[in-house]
Amino acid sequence: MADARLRAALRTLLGDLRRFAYGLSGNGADADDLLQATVVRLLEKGVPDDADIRRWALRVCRNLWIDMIRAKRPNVSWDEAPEAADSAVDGETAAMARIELNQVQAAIAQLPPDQREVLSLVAVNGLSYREAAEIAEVPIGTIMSRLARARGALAERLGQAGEQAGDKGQGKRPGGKRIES
Amino acid sequence: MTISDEVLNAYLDGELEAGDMEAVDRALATDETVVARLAALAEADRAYISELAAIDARPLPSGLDDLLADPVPESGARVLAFPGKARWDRLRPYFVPTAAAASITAIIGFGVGFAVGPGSGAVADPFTALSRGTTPVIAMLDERESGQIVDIGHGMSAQVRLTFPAADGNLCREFDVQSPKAAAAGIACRSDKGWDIRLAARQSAPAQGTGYVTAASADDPVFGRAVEALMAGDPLDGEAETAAIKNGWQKPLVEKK
Repeated sequence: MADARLRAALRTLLGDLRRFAYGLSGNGADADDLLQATVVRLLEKGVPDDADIRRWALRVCRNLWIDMIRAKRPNVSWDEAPEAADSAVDGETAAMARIELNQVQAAIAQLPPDQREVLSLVAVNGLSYREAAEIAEVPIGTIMSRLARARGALAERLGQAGEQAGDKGQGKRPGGKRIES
Repeated sequence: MTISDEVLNAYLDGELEAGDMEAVDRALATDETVVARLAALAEADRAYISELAAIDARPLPSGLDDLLADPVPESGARVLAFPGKARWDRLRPYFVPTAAAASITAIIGFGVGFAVGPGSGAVADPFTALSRGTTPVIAMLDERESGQIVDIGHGMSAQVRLTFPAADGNLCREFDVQSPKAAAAGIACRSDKGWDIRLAARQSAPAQGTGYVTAASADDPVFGRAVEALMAGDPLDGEAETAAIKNGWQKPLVEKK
């Protein structure tokens, strides 16, 4: 694929690829390192003319991530989430949004990486099970069972978190300070 | 009837055959537990998707814009080359936007550097040769004094510009590599394992006409700042540099006048 075309395609794919990288790595800095390395690799090695560039890029990203894990990168965590969009109007809304965000992060953090990978491919990147199976290099049945475990676990944890938040709702204080969960 | 999560997921993801899809529809019409379960799974999805989208609020690394921008000069087949695979995770690349320095299309810094080994293949691109630390480049760093122009093969020449001490006491060398078509400049620092490439800058394509591209130097604002950040003392004079070469770069030397 010609370089100019490849770059143009990558520009449109960047957001998609970045969310995938974030799903794998769990924090913004590593996600961007991974994204950057993916783009560099794609520009360096190119993409075969007959390949679907989106799937190809996701696969390159995923393989680089595996290299990174094998090279024993320190800890992978969801502790450092990217800055939440500053859209909340008042302090209380902001505080509640942060609480919810933290609960979601905590729930996601407990998912094994292979489940996060599959959930990202299917739910975030919109791939079919067959496409996801090709990228993750597992049978479709494995995709289905990982998806079921991932969504099931998230549903359970978010359900619990929702109940707790409901119980504590009255004691919530206004004022926009970060409330650690 | 009970419907497994896998089937409900496949329903959510549009992966069911028509007949199975209708079966789930019927269950949804009559069974509240199925409805509740499907809603919970969909909610899990929504939470996951919106959490991953949170990264959109973070500014993109500026280097990506440079990497993906269409090059102003026509060449630009390879914007950047990273050294050997599987080491990339040790690198902390940063890219300096080009606005400040028209001549540099990309500059990458390596936080910890990476030890360059022998065996880097034949390379005809100055930036690649420099950032990978090909064998002739390493030989030059080991043996040559500043200012000597060295033929490193494949139509490229190279020279060390200066040698200076880094904060850790080890010595670093600023050098460049040129071909008729391209040029690159970099910094290598000595560690006990050998030379680490710490900085690599690619030059933009040459102005029309022939002649060599001018390599980046400490005069260039961006490259100069990067050099300054690494420099922890005055450059070595010729005598001290010769001594360091003789000494095999083994230890930081304190020159007595």
